[in-house]
Amino acid sequence: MEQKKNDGILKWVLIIIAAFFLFIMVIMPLGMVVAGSFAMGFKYYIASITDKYTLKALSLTLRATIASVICTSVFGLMAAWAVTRYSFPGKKIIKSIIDIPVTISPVICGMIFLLLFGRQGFIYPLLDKVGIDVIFAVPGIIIVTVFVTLPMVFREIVPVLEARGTEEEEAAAMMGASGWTIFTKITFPSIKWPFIYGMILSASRAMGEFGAVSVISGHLRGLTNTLPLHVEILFNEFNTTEAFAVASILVMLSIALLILRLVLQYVSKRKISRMQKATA
Amino acid sequence: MYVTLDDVNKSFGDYKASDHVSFSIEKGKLTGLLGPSGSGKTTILRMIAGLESPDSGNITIDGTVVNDIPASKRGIGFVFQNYALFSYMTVEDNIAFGLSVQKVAKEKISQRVSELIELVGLKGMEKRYPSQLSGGQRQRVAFARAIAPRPKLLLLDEPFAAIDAKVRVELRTWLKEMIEKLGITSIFVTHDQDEAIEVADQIIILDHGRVEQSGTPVEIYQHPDTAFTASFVGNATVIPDYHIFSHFEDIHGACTAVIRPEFLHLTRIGEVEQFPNSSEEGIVNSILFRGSHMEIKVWVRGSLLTVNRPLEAGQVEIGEKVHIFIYQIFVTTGDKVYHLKNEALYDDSVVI
Repeated sequence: MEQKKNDGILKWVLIIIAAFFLFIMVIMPLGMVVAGSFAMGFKYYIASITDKYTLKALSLTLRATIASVICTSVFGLMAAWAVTRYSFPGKKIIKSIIDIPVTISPVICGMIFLLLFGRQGFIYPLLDKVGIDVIFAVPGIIIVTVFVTLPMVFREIVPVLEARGTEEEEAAAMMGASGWTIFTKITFPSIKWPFIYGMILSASRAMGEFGAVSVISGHLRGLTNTLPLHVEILFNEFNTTEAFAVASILVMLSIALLILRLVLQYVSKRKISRMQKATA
Repeated sequence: MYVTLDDVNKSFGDYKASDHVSFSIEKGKLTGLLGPSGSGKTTILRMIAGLESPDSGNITIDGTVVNDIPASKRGIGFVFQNYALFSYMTVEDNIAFGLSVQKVAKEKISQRVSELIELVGLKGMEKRYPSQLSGGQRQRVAFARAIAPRPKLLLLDEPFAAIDAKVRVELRTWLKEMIEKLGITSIFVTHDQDEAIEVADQIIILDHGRVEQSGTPVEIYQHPDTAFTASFVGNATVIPDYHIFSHFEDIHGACTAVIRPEFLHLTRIGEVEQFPNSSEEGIVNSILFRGSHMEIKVWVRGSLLTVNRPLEAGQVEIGEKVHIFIYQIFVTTGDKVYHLKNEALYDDSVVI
């Protein structure tokens, strides 16, 4: 009895500490963003977020995000398939190398590409001849964003594929199913949710990416500015209200992804429980 | 012969999974590939299926060499060890898969599926997913899925390994009946000799990738051809030197012998004995109650022999001195097996 009472107190103490922490670290700052962006009135807010440079930055961020999601999906599926379905020398090393983009600091990622494609880089003369600008241009932004988000889908689906083994695919192949049928009917249904989850993770990372992009963008307003970079520039120019307003766009995008994630989690959970529901 | 393997070889690095394997299987028969783990039995099954390809040698099915025919075109049904049911499909869709891949008309598929569901006794479970089924039910689905496209040959990889002991015996009988009813030529792989002896029409014994012996369960059990078969089949005790027991013919150069419980008869001191002069003395080491009989381990001249004793024959005690009469032994030398009977059995008339 005594034990139970203590448990009750402990429970509430822990909940209150966690809630307090959450309030200080998450709710309050987010509130500040909202409050800050409306500091000079609703009209000014609308004007800030529909500003020409803001819209350009938003468009660049969205393009980089879409490119990232596509690349991580295609690459992730192919790499995961290769790593889990075939055995070849160096497989373990490849699996570790794939993780590098998320383990090293984004600034360093940016530096790598700066050195690779920049004027000192050995690829530069080649690019120069063809007339493609990478550094301080849109392609560079997209390349680094793709780079930092590349392993997201791979990391989510490899454990699932490894746990499943290859027997189901083998059985389907024995019955004469084509590779495409096997993939769409047998393999993909089992990795669908981790796959979508990996896409969402890569999208949120791509939208918020600052370090790597900052190194490579050159901060050309209206040309190579993404939303996070734009926020920084506005803030450095003491345009606090505008900075907050632009930041609120990013917050809304993140919240939208969060909601999407929750909805998908709910749907997948319901589907799984329906599959496993013991029918007596 | 319906399925023939002719000098088939397959190696994985240093490990020879199939070493000059040749055997034939008759149409309509249920054949068991029996061997310990690592004997290459699963590899041979997978080569017949086309899931592995042999390094050399020919595999013939129904008169056609199938070496270059892909697995999907061989017309084979395969039941995997863990069934490999499609976990994101219902029972119905699992069974229908092979037919729908072949683009069979929808009505024909649903007709065949309901026919099979009826056959394997899973009516009412059509809409369930594999995760909602018991082990035995999953096996039935795997079986129905394998035979749905009417294969010419059915292969089963350790079909009972994933099922608990209680259901296993029941399923064995069920599977044998099913296969007999359908008349489909079948090959299954097992490491369990009871399973092979009970279910198969023909047993092929494998060890280290080699065929040790092939024959009916009775032949395999009663007339082992090789030392390995003699020691692998039955509840065998291997005796390093059989000369410690008198009353057996001396085979030149032979030492090792195999003794099974049914070769022995145990009598307590004072009980009536048929061959008192030819029996050995032994000390009871352990007694195991087996339900229908007692399994008694007895030290006889430095060897621990296993003997069965009916319950009604009366209790023995651990440490008790008993008499053991050895009716027969399998003496093995190199690749030969001699079936020796106790000489007292021939001298019977003289003793009286």
